[in-house]
Amino acid sequence: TMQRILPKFKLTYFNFPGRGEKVRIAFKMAGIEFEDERIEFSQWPEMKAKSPFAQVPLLTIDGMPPVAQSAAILRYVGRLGNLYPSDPEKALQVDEIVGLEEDFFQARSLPFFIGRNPRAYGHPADIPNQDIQAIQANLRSTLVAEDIPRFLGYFEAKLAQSERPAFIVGDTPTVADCALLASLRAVKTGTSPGVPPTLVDAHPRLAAYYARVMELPVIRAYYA
Amino acid sequence: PRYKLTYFNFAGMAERIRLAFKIGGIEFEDERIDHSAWLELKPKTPHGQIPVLSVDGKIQVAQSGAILRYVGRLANMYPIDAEKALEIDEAIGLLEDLWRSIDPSFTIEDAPQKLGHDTDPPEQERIALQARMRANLTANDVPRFLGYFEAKLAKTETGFLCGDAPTIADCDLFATLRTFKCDLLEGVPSSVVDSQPQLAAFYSRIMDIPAVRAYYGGK
Repeated sequence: TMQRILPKFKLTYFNFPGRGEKVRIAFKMAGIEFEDERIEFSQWPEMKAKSPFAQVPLLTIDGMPPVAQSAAILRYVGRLGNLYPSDPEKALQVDEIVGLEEDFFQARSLPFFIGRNPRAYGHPADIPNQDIQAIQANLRSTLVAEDIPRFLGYFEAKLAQSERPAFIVGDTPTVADCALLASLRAVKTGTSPGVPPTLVDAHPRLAAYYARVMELPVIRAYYA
Repeated sequence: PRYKLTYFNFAGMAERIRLAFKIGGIEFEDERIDHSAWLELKPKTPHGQIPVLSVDGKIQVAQSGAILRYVGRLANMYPIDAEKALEIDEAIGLLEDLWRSIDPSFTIEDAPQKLGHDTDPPEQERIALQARMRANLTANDVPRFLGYFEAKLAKTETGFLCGDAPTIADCDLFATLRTFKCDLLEGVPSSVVDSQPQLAAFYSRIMDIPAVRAYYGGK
């Protein structure tokens, strides 16, 4: 058999799940080796100044200038690792879930983003910390009551389209599963402050899906 | 198959898709709905959002990025090659980041409570806040992101963002530039594009594509 000889990959991101986790999961699912470079916040200002777009994650391929954008890197790993169909109709379904998960991530992360850059959201730059915390607590309770259940419901409905769903789209894992797993894990493991891990359990197909995917050998090994 | 794209009657997130259909030469129904029609349609959409793409009369999918890539695949504007697609996806992602930085300046006007403000600041206050946010965007985020594309275009010799023919990345960039060029974003002047020679030339180049010129009726 002809095996494509793959270059050396390095993924650079902070030492938490965030936007990088779905890519880490994709590398694992694809069985593609990569250096999982995790940087501390103290290292970031210097790296940021040297990075192409002042953001991470970054993918370095064989020491070439790095590429940014988690969803771009996700799709790239998917293409190399047979996790991203080339058939337009199948890819459309995968892309819909990837986009939806990105919306979910954004919605969950909004309180954090407001705290990090209040001015970008119309608040005074010098807003007192306790005011920010009150805003965040308020927004989080709305997230827990409304937005998060709404998004989880969309994924539940997707699983319900198939009588015995194996993965979120079709019978084999795709990058849509990598993205969805990252988000579900964020909720389940309490990464999102103020968000109870039990929210996923209210959706039976999704809870079962999560358990199933976590039991895949490469995933179980990764999170061991 | 019969394609129908449903969105509001403005550019927004749908414009890049409309352009991909047009440049790709794929027929589609460009359905534009008003607010009351939207309220009726909303519960019938997968996630309460538009744009949605219908195929042969049935709503198939939401998510503008998914639809854009689908049309790109049909139109040969989104290659299968992993490295080429990576370059395109990076560009599209950066433009999405730019729009994400602009979004709060819309939300402050119609739903400030979503950003942690009091539900009903007086209109004057909302407008003042919006103006401040737009001024900040004009000074910082917009030139920063547009600068990335100015630099990228300076490096390519083809005049397109990725490779030697238009791709969905070009559709996305053009749609963004047009918003600024046509002063569609209050508080962000068209000079953000006009001051950048590569971007200004890119804009004219895409506008000169016959299907694009026809679409905009020479405007």
